[in-house]
Amino acid sequence: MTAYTRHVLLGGIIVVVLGLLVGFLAYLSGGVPAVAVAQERPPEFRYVPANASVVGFADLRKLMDSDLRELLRGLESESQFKNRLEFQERTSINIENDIDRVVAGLVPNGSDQAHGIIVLTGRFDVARLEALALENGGTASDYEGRRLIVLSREIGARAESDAEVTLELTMAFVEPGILALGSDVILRQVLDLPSDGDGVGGSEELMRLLSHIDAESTAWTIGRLDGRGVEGWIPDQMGSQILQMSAFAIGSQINGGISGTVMVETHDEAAGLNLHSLVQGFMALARMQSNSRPEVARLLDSFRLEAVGTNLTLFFDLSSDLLLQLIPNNSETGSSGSN
Amino acid sequence: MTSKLRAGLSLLAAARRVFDFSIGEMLWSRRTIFMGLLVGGPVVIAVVLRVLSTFELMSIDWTINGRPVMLTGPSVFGLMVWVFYLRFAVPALGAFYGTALIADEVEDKTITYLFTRPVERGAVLVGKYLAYLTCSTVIVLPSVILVYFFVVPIQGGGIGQNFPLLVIDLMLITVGLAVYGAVFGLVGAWFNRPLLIGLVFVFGWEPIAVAIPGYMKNLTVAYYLQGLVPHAAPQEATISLLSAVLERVQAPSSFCASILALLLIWTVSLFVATRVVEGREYVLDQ
Repeated sequence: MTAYTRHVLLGGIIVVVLGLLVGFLAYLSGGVPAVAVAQERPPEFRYVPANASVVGFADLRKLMDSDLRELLRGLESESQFKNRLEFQERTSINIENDIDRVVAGLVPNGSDQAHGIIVLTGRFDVARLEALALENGGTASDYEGRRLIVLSREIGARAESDAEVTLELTMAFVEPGILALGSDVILRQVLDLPSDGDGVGGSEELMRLLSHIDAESTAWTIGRLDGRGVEGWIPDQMGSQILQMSAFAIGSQINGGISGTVMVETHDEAAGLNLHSLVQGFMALARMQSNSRPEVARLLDSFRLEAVGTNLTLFFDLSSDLLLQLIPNNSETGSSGSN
Repeated sequence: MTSKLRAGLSLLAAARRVFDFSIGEMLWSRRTIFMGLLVGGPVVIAVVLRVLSTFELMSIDWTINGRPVMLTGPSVFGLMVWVFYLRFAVPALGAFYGTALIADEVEDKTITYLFTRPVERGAVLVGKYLAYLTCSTVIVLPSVILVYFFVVPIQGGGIGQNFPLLVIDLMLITVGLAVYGAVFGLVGAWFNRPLLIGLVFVFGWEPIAVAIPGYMKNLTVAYYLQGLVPHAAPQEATISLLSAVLERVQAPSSFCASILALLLIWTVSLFVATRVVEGREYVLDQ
């Protein structure tokens, strides 16, 4: 055998081995849909604690510039338009233009309520927003060189025997152009994090779920459901069904319509099959009842369910005209909004 | 005296010697250009599909036999493996290379040089067969890998999720190359116009026998390979593209029956081929 022959054979073997290696690594990491098109990590991840169970993201800039938003703007009622203007006057925030991205995280704390954080990136009038918060009864304090403003509001008791519940919201400008809102505990925890840290980006399990989200997604949410304290914020009625699932990843692309995927991971294949049957059953039931409503039949046709191993994925693709049909009484709403 | 000389090298050691010089000959022959075209075609198609999909120029909803079929990356890959590789490239390569293992030496009148060496005649066939298997797998499998990485991510297919299917497909193709090579090795050792017989078997007999009802399909290799095709992912309201195509022909044999049948065909073909080479007197055209 000549050296040239050996090199050709070796080349072929290397391609096969490399291909198998990459495929195997993708398989081990939970089924990467396509490394090249997976969602990137937003920089705001560093303000979400690593122990968060659920993380969401929305590219508001893309959403507001979408054809769908343009369409819905035309359907905005007069009162909705007035509310938007009023909000802009009070806060100086034009929702259409001033907020670029939103990242939110939910951190279970083992009790009934989870701690949450919302990080808004955009252009804000800091002085005006802080003054507004203080006018509304907010109390300011300094922490790690940043100003925290705590807003609290009593929302009444859940039952007669319960004590009054007070809702507290803390806000802080963690960086120029980045406003964080959330529970006081989480905000202080976030401010303690190193400025070059990864935050929730360091959570390997959540980041593995991110690989199920398409790079072009406008909004997405990922979460794991088997961590400690998760049971605390899942409604009791849904607990037994939800706890069959170990994680989820929901991604959507919004432009002319809405398309995307809802991926659910179950603990084992049996749970996956059960869930698959359950969803199929619901879809069949809805299909039976959709005879008199063609838009519902079209909605069901736009869904596709796929089960692979422990993963159950629902694909959907809703066109703008279908969405308009599904919005109740959209023809009765005014069209003054965009004027 | 001859038997003593021939006993100098065991069958495997002799086969290895034959393998060493045959692999280079095989790799740099004109047939390799044919093989390159055969396995390069699916890669080109895969690239085109990926480009069309990336620029959203391709519809994913198809209808086959009046049934809605969702065209996803994994289903397209499964279909390509079945149509381009298992039903075309693998049998064609088996026919071209397998029939040539002995026939080429007879045609070139060089078989005498091989048979006068102090090795068993059967080792010549085994060595050449191993060279064919190495040469074809080293060229075909990288092509399948490239097709996998280009096609499977179309419409959000998972590289990792579908990895077990890739492994099974690679094994299937290797099994296909081994079995077809053995069958056509036997044809090449036995008949005078082996390539013609091979082509008739691959493109005439097999498609007809697999399609017609009855037991005729049992006399093909394709029927048993079909029994090993794994692509039939459950989908709501749709069926996989491959299942739709396969359902047009026959219900495939069971997995175990397919494995056993292929193993039997391979063993018998290779054994009989070595016996034929051992016993046959090849008459060279003057």
